[in-house]
Amino acid sequence: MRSWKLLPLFLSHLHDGWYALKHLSFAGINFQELRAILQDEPPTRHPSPRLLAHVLSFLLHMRPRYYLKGSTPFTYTFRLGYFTVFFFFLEIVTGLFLMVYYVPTPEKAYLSIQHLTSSVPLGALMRDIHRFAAEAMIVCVLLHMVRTFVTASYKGVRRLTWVTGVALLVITLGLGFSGYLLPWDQLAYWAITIGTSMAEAVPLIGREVNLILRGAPEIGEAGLLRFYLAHVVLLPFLAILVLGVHYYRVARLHNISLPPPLEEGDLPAPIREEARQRVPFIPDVLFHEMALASIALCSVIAICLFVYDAPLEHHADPQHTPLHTEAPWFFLWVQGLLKLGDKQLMGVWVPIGIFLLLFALPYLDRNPRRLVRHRPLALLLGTLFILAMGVFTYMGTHYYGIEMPTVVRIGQDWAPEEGVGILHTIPYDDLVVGAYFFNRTDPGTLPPTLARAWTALEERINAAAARGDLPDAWAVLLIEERQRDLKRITLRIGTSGEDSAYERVLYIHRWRNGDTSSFASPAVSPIPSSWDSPLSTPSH
Amino acid sequence: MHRTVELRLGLLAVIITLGLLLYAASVEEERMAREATAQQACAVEVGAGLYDQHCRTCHGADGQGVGQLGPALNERHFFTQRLQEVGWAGTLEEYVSATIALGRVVATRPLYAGDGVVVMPAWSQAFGGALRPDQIRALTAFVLNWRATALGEVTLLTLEIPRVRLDDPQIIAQGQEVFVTAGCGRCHTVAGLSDGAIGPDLSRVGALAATRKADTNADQYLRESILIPNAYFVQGFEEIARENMCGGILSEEQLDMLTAFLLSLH
Ligand code: HEC
Ligand code: HEC
Ligand code: HEM
Repeated sequence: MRSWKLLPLFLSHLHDGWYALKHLSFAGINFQELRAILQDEPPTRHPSPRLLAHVLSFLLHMRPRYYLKGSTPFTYTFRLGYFTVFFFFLEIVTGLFLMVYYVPTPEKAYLSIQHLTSSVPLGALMRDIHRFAAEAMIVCVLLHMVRTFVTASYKGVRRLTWVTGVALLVITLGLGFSGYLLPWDQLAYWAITIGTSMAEAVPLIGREVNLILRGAPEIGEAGLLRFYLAHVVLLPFLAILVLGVHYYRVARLHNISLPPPLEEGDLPAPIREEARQRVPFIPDVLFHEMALASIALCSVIAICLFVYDAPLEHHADPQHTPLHTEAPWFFLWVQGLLKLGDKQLMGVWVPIGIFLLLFALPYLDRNPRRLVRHRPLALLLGTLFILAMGVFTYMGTHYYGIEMPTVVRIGQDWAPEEGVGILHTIPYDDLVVGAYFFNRTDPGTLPPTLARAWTALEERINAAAARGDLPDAWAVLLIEERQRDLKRITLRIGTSGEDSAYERVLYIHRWRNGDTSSFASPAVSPIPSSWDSPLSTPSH
Repeated sequence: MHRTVELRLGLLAVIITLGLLLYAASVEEERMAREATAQQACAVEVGAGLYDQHCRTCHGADGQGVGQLGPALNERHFFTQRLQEVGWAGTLEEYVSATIALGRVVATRPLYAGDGVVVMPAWSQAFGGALRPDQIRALTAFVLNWRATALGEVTLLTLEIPRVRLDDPQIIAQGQEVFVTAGCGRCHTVAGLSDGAIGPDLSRVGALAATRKADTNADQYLRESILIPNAYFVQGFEEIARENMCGGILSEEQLDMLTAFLLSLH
């Protein structure tokens, strides 16, 4: 067959294709309609395809056809519910990516995170986003709750919406908590150990609750698997289910509430009339939400690339409790409560009580009015509650109520086990091999960075001595070269009164920051000929 | 906000996002390499701490080995010939981590007897030891990091800090105790303490030690005599020495004390 004979066939295909393209539509919205939307023209057909879309499309049918104009100002909702959904969605997408590489066993979990960040392209970014969005989601949920409380949107028909909301809060916190353990580093392990230790205090069934959570008396293989399954299966499914109910009540049953002044204030009728105008979902709300999503996504990616790094401390070590063990920040308030009293009362009953109170709020607050001036008591109590939670959270941190010997605090500031201490900030080559003696070494002979750290240390010890904390203190700093690119720093601080000195040993590798560009020959600073006992014997 | 403004902002955000992702992808190779380096460095740091805690008693603070307790890990031989010597088919890294995990029931070299209880204990938790897999990985990274110095590529700056002061009377007294309990007196005479006659009289060894071997100072010579008796023979004892070696199972600390004691004999 000659090829030109195919031409009519080809042309007819072309025609079909064009026809199909012209009539291509998504949820009943075709090209012409899309153009009309973008050019702000009225619907091209009747009934409006923009409303029909909600009937034709599964995804769109979940959204309302219109919002009331009065409820749409940004400063009314701050779109906090929307942003919560946005971050939840981001969690699902990045979470699926992480699931490909993550291995939920104590032997492999930490390694798999290390592998993810060092050998999987964009793996670190995905992890950063997942962690960042998780915290952002919790923040958004909390603010969203505060917003609906302040605007009194939990009353009347919306009572059950609030209740499902508190259920979502619990699930969100559960997601954050279970995810916290998964990297299996010191931070994760001890935060969750603290967090689950409360379970033991539950009367009668405490031991069982603890066993069910941890899978064994201590968190280990079984506990990690349980947390993992809760994190990737149970809680996300619950979240989607309850979110469905929550959102169904908002979108399909009652719409977003109007701001109180518009609903029950004495504003002139035309304004109230206008507030009841309908803002169609397509295109107004949809485009607004798409713009919000793209701006939010752009910001999250920028933050994760340039500012935020998901933490990864040293491998979990059940034998070694770090100096400061803190619950995840969103549960610090429980830790704060625990410092106030009894483990059972403060660790179990009060938190349970707080959540029950939140659940029951719409039924306790029988005042039907929504305007601020009509509910002074509710707002006062609400403010006090938020302040109290803030104070408890502060009290949960190690800044409150933890006594630490001065030398330990100094060691923690100069050479902490995790994170970056003052000694870590000194460039590797400035860590001149040598022995440095309290009030005797001349900082002028040292590189400026080391000199600064050394002078600061002397000042700190002198200040403590002046306060009577460290009478007759002495200190030695030894810097030795152990291997190529590896130095050992020993910080020894003692007082004349005590038998044994405080000692902190720190290893620093030249490339601990991954930066392989620095290279220079190291130098030694000579030991003074008259060095004495602090050096040779660990015990003074 | 007007819709067209929103539309433009949204589009702009999408374009910036794509730009950011492109940028991230373009520097990703380098970032991953940095991350891998940092992880390796961190493993060496962690391994160093573990080594101090678990291994230095037998392998020496700087991996130089301690007598018959454990071989040197920081020497050229270990990095260049050891694998052929034991007929290990895998890499040195695998050899080291397998050795740490499993320990040794029988020494491959009769010289190394371990601490008299085991040759080298198994360290992996899987075999009843104390260390987790990540710790064994860290230790392996640390041991292998001796390569550069072992092959002589770099020399370290050393800060001569004796662990004990050899003229400390308390240490000397403790050294005398070790001398007695380790049975040195069976072969050696020290005036007023023992009358062994197989080996040389040590009553004045503190004075003699410095003169024995050309490039070796007193302290080093004494340590060597105890640890590696065949390194140098005292005149007249060549034959006897082959049958009767000094040795004894000593820790590094005991060795320090013994040395301090012998140095004090004038
Ligand atoms: C009780 C003493 C003892 C302790 C503690 C000990 N080792 Fe050993 N180690 C030995 C002995 C003895 C050998 C040599 C056995 C042989 O020759 O087969 C050895 C061999 C080795 C080897 C192989 C060396 C070679 O030349 O084949 C490595 C690597 C090693 N040890 C690392 C370690 C590490 C790391 C630790 C700390 C976790 C450690 N050892 C703790 C006694 C010990
Ligand atoms: C089985 C017998 C025997 C025992 C036990 C023994 N030695 Fe020796 N020692 C010798 C002989 C033989 C020599 C001489 C050969 C040589 O120099 O290597 C010697 C040499 C020495 C020397 C060198 C002396 C010199 O004048 O240069 C010193 C130091 C020494 N021994 C210390 C010790 C110590 C410390 C102990 C205890 C841990 C000890 N020896 C246990 C047999 C023994
Ligand atoms: C995963 C967590 C949650 C998600 C995804 C979510 C989502 C949403 C969304 C999208 C809305 C629409 C209005 C808006 O954007 O503000 C909404 C409304 C509402 N939410 Fe939530 N929410 C969550 C948690 C909560 C919590 C913790 C509470 C309170 C305890 C709550 C109470 C309410 C109430 C009362 C409304 C109705 C507001 C009104 O009509 O003005 N929600 N929620």
